[in-house]
Amino acid sequence: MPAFSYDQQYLSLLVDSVSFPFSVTPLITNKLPSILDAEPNSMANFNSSSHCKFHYDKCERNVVEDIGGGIDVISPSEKIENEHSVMTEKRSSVEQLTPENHGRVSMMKKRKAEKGSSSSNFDANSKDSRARKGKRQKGTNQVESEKQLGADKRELVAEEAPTGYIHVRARRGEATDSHSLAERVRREKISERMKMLQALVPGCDKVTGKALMLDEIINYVQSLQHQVEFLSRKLVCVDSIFGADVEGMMLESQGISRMQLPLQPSTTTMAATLTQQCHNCTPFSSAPQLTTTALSTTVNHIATNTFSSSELGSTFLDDVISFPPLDAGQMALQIPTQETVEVAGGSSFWETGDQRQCCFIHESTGYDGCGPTDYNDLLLR
Amino acid sequence: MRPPSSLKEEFLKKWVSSLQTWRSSSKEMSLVERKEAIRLSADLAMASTRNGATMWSRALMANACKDSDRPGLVGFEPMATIAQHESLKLRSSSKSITPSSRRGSKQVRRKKISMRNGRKIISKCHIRRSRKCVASVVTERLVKKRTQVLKELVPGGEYMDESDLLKETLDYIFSLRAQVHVMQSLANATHLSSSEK
Repeated sequence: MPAFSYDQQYLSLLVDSVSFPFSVTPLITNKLPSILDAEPNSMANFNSSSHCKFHYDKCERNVVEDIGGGIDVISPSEKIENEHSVMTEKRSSVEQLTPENHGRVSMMKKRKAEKGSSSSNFDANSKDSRARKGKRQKGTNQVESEKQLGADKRELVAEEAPTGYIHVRARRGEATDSHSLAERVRREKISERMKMLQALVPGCDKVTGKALMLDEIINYVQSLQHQVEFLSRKLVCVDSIFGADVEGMMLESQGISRMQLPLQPSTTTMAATLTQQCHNCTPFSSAPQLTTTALSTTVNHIATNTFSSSELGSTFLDDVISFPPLDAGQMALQIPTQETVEVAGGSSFWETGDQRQCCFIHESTGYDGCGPTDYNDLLLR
Repeated sequence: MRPPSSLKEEFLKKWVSSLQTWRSSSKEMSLVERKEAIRLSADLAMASTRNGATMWSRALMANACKDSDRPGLVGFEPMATIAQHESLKLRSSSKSITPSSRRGSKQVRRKKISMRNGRKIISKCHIRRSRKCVASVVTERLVKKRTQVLKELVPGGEYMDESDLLKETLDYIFSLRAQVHVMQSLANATHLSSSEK
């Protein structure tokens, strides 16, 4: 590093000037006066050099103040890079003093690196610093108190009390520790929740940063709401007949065998309601006369079918199939892209129906990853 | 802990019961009205599965109570009375919140003005530093804008602060997914059966 080389050169110069007479002495032991004569010269040299040094020190102090003031202006989040820039700019103004400056400044940098906050806190600190803009710089007391504070607190740079610089934006720690702690806790809470949301929302793994994450979340919520809207529109025609059977299906799916008996009478009531609803649907249905025949088939199906726990689901599908208002006219309005499955016999259809039933009711793994379960745990904690 | 399947079953049950009652109450309805009723009943059923534990569910029910021109639909909801209480609470809480929020916004405005003046006063403003500050300010503004949008999306979001908003969003997304799954399965089942016919 050039700074050290400069230092070394300077030091070597000093040493040479001082040691030169002493190196001579072993040779000229008798010539003490000469040595003595030489010494004052060296001393003079030394004095001059020391005087220069003192001068340098004073100048350097000013420079340090200046640099300190300059650094104070910078926000804490760009400490180290901007220090370099500041150094370069100050260097031009104090060319003669660069060696010492470099030495001192590098020392300051080191000290700052030790004391300064970690890079992870830079964003947080920058936010806090912005919140504390315009505050005046305090004296050395602040510096000392800040030295006592933890490593993640911001610090004052200037070692001496820079009284002449009012306009600097002070980099200082929080006014009270409780505020900073609360702030940090709040921030951590938010980041934790963002992580949970990241797990829940698909496609959010690659995204980092609050703004993009929020963007994804907003898009996802909007898409889900649109889906609900769309599905409700889709279910308009379907649903008018549907209600009672769905409930029956629900009861069946829970494996309550005792519901078999009430189910039969309920089917008759269902048939009654079906007729009512079919009449309601006449504005929409293109072939109302189909309804009654379908209903009769429904009732027959139900009567003939024997209930067993495994086939409970199939009865629901019986009813479903027979629903007349889902006739061609209406269904044509709906999504026409429904693929028709060729059914060889009734049994195979029931199998698929059962599968559907299982999918429908016993969906337990509909989510990606472990997000929901973890989320539930976290919520209830 | 509530497994998702039980949530779905509960939702379905409540939804279907509400639809039944709705159907029994009125005979003639236009398509649009029907769709709205289906959607509303689905939303309310999903909200009621939360049993008032979350803010969004309560807000949803309260809004439904307030805006609904079909009180019968809401009346049959099991949480109807609670929803009414919640609507009153929300109205009162909103009244209490707005003054404080107004105060808060004033404070924020004052802070912003002082910050701006502070920035103007600072003479040794290096270009690099100001650029970086601008970037962080821009991201802050973006985040604020997006939280505002999210507040509008999630029911009852306007009354929450950021961390609570995220928590409610989490719950809301979870419930919405369950709702969509159930509705989709229902629609698919009926379509399949009708196509079979």
